[in-house]
Amino acid sequence: MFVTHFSKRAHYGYRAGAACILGALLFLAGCSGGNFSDLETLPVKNYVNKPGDYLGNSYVLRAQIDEQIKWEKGLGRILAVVVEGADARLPIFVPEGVSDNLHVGQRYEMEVIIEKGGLIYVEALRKY
Amino acid sequence: MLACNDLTVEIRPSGIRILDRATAEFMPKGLNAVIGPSGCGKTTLVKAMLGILPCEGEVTYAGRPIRDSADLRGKLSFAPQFSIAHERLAVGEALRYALDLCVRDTAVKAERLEEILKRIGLAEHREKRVSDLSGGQLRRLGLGLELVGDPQCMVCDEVTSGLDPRSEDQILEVLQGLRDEREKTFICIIHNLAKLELFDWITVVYEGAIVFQGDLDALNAYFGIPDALHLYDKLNQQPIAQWRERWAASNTAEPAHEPLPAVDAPPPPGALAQTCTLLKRRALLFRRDRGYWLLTLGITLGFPLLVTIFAWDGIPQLRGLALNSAGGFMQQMQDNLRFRIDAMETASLVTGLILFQVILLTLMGSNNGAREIAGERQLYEKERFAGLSARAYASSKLIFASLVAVGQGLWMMLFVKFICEFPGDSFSQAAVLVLCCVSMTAICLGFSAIFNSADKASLLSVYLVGFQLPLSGIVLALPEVLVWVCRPFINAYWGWGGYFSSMLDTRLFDAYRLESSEWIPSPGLAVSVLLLHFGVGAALVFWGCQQKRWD
Repeated sequence: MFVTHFSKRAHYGYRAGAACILGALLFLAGCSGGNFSDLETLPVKNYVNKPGDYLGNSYVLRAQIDEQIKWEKGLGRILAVVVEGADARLPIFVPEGVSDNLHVGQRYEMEVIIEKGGLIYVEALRKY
Repeated sequence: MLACNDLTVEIRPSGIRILDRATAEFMPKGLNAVIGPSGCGKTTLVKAMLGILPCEGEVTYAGRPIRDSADLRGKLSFAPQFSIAHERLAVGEALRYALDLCVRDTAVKAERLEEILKRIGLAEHREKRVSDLSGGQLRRLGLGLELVGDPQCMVCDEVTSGLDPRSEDQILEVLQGLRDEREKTFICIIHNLAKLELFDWITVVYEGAIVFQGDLDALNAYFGIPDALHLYDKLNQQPIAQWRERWAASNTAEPAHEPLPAVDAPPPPGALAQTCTLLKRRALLFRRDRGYWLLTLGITLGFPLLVTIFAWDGIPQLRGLALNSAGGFMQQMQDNLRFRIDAMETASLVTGLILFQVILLTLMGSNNGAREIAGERQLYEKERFAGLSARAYASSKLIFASLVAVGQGLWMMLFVKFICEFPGDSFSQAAVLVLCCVSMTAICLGFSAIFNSADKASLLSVYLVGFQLPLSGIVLALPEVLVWVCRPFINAYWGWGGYFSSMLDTRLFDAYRLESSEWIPSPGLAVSVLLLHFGVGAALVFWGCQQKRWD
């Protein structure tokens, strides 16, 4: 029987292609960087009703800067932010040194901790 | 020598047999003619024996079974009727590159080049372009290209068809000379029955079956005809079944010729050496193809210019909105409105310019890849039969087309960035734009390797580019359900996203973010997805080049 078949050399091509794809997948996994934080998302609605209940807890918050409410040199600034996916405007405190390039309209993913009096204290942030 | 037993070729899926249980053997060190009316299966018989067409039955060469074309490498060569050599090469160059692809030894190559040129009578035409050769000279060059590997046996498909009598005689003289002086075996499909007296062994194919093998005298006697010119009239007088039965009854089971031991040719150069040869040849052909390099240069320089027309004076600076709410309510409202309008206009301009660059780069990629392999497929198949590695060919095409794409991507990035003063990390932007063009080039090269027709590959590539804009979801919002169905495959989306997020720390990015919270991939992520596209394209190229796609 005359059987048409691929030569063994064909497999080199497939190996090269597969290596390329595997390399890209590994690079993809490396570059995606995962989530900014594994923390729970701040339950905005409940927080607005009873901020004191969340004292000492850490959350992640995705929000857009709406306005600066107060700024004190060497200390930090209080901003009003609009939370993504929730129709809520919250005040947050960004200490000096966390970020110096904040502008209206920017969107950030923030790691926050709820301080005394329900103050949302930003510990780290990442622009997106 | 070459022989077959019960060889059958069927057209799939209809199952029609175009070659039916053909059994034949050919004379070693002789001129073998394969004749028969048009469409009777002569070329099918030859291609099936050479493993070019899928078939059932047995094929042997010097008594050894042949399972694939690769088993004949170095022993036998095949000259198709058309697609003999690259038209823009000179005769000497065509032969020298063919030698570089088939022969390792430098001294042997130099000696053989001169011998072949002398043998085929083209020594004085060595500087002449292939496109300028006459029909007869072209066929002689075809023979010369067959001789580069110094095979024992050569198969010629209609080597004298369509030639004037003088050119035909010249070709036949070359064949006779090689038979007598170099003991070469030729299997020639011919149409001119008046020339059969020059052949030693004649095979008659009729309606997909072999109905006679022998010399000219035996043929005339067997069919009861005064000369071979009456053969086809005679064949038409009886149905194929009768001719088949008669031949089966008169043909003895004993072999007609003494078997000739096979001479194994030295192995061809390695894949790396072949890749280098192919790259050198491709560069030369690129230089010689004025229309193509002018087009490539034109789009490489012209497309970035087209982008900059929309922002010749640079991208307008965005006046920000103060964080502090100073001033009265009306003033705040006015400032806010002004800021939002400015931001929207700037964001629209910037995203549009980035998308325009990316789409034009995909178009360049399509131009680089779509015709590269399909346009010369028959030449490639011929060279592969002679010993060219599919891996080397695929690699050379990927390297050449990718190098062109790298140049185009870099130029686009530098020119537009300089003229429009795009902010952001140059390295990330260059990586994204280069890969955008390179990955599309590889995908279109994959199409070119899969399809036989350059037009089909080109059309599919153009469709692919055409769908980039609507399916990217950048200009027109895609339905939610389709977003992640389409996005992974849309080169332009990753190119756009990667480039745009390289400007994350700029006010231009903020302007876009004012109204959109849409996820945008980071440059690293975009680069890796585009690399993945390239990997898929490269795999298609390697796979497509492994397939046999003879006409």
